[in-house]
Amino acid sequence: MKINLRFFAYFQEIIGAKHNEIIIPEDSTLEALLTRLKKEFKFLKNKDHLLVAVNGKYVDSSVLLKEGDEVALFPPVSGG
Amino acid sequence: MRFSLLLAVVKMIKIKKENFSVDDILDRITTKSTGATVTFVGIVRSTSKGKIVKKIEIQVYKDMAQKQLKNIRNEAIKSFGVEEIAIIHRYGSLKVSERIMMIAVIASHRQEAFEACRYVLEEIKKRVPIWKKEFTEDGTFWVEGEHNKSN
Repeated sequence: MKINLRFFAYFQEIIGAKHNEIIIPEDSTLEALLTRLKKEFKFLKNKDHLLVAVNGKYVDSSVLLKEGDEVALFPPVSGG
Repeated sequence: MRFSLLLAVVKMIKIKKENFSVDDILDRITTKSTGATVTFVGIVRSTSKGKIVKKIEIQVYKDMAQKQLKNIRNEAIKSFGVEEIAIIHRYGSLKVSERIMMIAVIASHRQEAFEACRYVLEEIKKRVPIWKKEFTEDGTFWVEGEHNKSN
């Protein structure tokens, strides 16, 4: 199934893109997706610097992803 | 949620590039039962960690930030019993001394107004997907904050 990835802040600069698509097996969890992304982008392994949202919400990594979900990856926020 | 109530909430939360007027926002949200207003305005500083700041750029994950700000507003109103909260946050390129964001709280009394304002600010800094990039005389740096999340 297709998942839409979005990246923010310096993740865009390291990865070289603001968004991307990825095809993953049906019934994949968010954790499985992150494991795959961490192999490709090793800087994501530093979990103190990684926040993840699915369809605009913070969720547990055990959540099952669906076709067309938007998964956003970003560093700790600095608004305000 | 009824449509009129939803519309009222939408008007209280704004994420935009343009500057805002503190007076206009207070005039809009203050009612006859308001006894206290507390406002916080965040402003672009001229220095950061010893470096001279020339400007900042603010990036936002808009859809998610809108939802998070609405949730924070609702949590604060429920927890502190205040009357209303407006939150404005700008994005894009901002110069030194420009306003970044504003929280405006109206309540019957000052104690809950102060507490609600503090809560909203701290939650924004923990979980709303907004990031600042500082352009300084020594280079460009992304500001990385603390993180803690809830829905």
